[in-house]
Amino acid sequence: MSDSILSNEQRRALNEVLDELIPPSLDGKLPGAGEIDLAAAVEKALVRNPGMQPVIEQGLSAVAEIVRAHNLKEWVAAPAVQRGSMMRELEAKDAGFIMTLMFVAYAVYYQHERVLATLGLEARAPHPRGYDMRPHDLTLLEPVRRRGRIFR
Amino acid sequence: MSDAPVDVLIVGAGAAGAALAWSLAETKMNILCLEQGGWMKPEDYPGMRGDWEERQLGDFGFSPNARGRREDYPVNDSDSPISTSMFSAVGGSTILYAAHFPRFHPGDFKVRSLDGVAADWPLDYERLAPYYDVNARMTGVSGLAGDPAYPPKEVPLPPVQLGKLGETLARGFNKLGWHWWPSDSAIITEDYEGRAACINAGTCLTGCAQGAKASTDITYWPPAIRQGVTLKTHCRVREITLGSNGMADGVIYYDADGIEHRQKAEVVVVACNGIGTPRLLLNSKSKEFSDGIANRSGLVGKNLMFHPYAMITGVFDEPLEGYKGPTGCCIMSQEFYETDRSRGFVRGYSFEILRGFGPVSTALWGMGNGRLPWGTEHHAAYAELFDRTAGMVVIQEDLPEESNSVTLDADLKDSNGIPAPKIRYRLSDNSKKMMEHSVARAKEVLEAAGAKRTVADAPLGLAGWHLMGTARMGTDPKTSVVNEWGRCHDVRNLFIIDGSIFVTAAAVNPTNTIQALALYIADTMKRNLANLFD
Repeated sequence: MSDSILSNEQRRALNEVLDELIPPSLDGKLPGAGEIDLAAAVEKALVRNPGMQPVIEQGLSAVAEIVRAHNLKEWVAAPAVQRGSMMRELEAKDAGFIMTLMFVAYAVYYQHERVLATLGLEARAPHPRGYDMRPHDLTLLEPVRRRGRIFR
Repeated sequence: MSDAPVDVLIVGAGAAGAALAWSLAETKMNILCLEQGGWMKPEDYPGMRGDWEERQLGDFGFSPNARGRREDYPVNDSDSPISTSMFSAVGGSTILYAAHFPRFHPGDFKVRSLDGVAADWPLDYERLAPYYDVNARMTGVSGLAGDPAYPPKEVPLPPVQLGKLGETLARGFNKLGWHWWPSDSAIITEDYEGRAACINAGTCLTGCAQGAKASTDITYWPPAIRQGVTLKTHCRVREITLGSNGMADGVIYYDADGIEHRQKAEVVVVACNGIGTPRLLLNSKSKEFSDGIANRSGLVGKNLMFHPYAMITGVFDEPLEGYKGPTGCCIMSQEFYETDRSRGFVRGYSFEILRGFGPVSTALWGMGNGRLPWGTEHHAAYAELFDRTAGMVVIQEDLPEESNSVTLDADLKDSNGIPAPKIRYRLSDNSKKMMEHSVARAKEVLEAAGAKRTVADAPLGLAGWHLMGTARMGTDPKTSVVNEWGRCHDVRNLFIIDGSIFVTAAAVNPTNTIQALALYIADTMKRNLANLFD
């Protein structure tokens, strides 16, 4: 199965919107969507979830319309403040697109090894190593034991 | 195609079918189990890969409708605020369950006598207690003896680690003077019977690749098969057939290639869960049973009980290491379990403390409740959530009502063309009042534990894990489908052993009681082999 379902133009628009959704963190530790090529991973996720594709394609058309309405050649040609207002315009025009894209983008972004490392997590599957936990303190149960039977 | 007749035919290889098959195996009867799913491969479970959280939303999701695996059958649950969750495989829904393993309380078997509602069970806690003990040993139950919410009971293994999250919540309960106790869990905390101990991976709800969680494909089935029970997978039963003597004489099923088979049997045992069982009975029509086999009472499919759930999540200032540890099992509180009429409702509920969210689930949960914006504020908002959430669920007792039901959908069918079930369910006024009370108390304890804010999802939509009551047991054939040991009143060689036969639901997870009942029924069958149909 091909990992590619978007045209070059759609892919560029997707990149631009993802950069608005997930910019780098202010301290620069967490990458923005563009730095880790989130668009490619999102596109692969859409291949796995064909039901989402029409929503995304429709939303990308709305992106193109907004770019044209602002007399721009491309989204990134606008200054940051204008891009923010264009995003709000896009959200008002097609909220379903933004919600769907956030859903897919977050799912992919928070699996990325660079993101996980910054969060203090090892970039690995939970199995087979699992996680160590500190031994618990069951003396916390003393007040519960003192109350005695509570069942009928 | 006609297959060679067997002595005992079990339909369904989940929690109940596995336990009964193991127990009956010692009789050396010719026992066959037909299961519509296949064997799961632990190495294929999502927890073996980095994208495991994403797969929890896809091919390992709770809902059979969303997963769309061939082994699943669809359920029309559009007329219910709670949608159904189940899994078809060897092990059934124990593959994906959280493995919470509490027993019913003694009082749960006599709610009519104690509280004047619903009906008493035709058996009591003392009758089931030895079978709970057997199940604890076969399963490898972890927990801590001495819980004041229960009579003394056998707990073979020490409890799962509470972790920083569990201890934080425990201090909240202590501050309020409320009951809590380490959960009884079907998760082994030490190496046990050839299985390796839990490694706190936190992937329980997508299958346990470690084998620490007790799904019946790794507990009951291996010894049952070693003792001679035959298990055929990818075989979907369409209907139970009736002989000329008014007894069940077998089933018609489809194999993996869609080929129709006729399987004759002396005894038929149905173990397909509280939705699959009434579906099969209702699909088994004949001249004698035009409304479905064993349905002279008209109660097959009636009295469907879920446990209404609420999920309340607290956001804390400190990291809680909540992504570590068994997902659903930590501590349980039964402070509000027993009836107190001053609360405005009868019966009660349990609190079950969950772990926190993983990185993807944190983002999607934050997005879902509007606490995670996109744009420049995203990262700061995420940092306030990740590893700083502690969730708890409320599990409420659901009282039986005939209007809550499973019927056959007029149009929806599974991949073999068999009519699918349709659910009709409403929360009662009693349940709504209980939910209001429970959510308020949950917020109270989370705040006592230090939560700076709380978010409630009530009732929880995708929480139809517990499927009960749709072929209930009793001594009167007019008001029940099976007798006190699971035998159908109307068809004396047809047994039902899953959650369908529950009279009431209690306010705890049902799997331990489903299996204890299956073991009890198997034992009763063994004791009465000479006159099983009298």
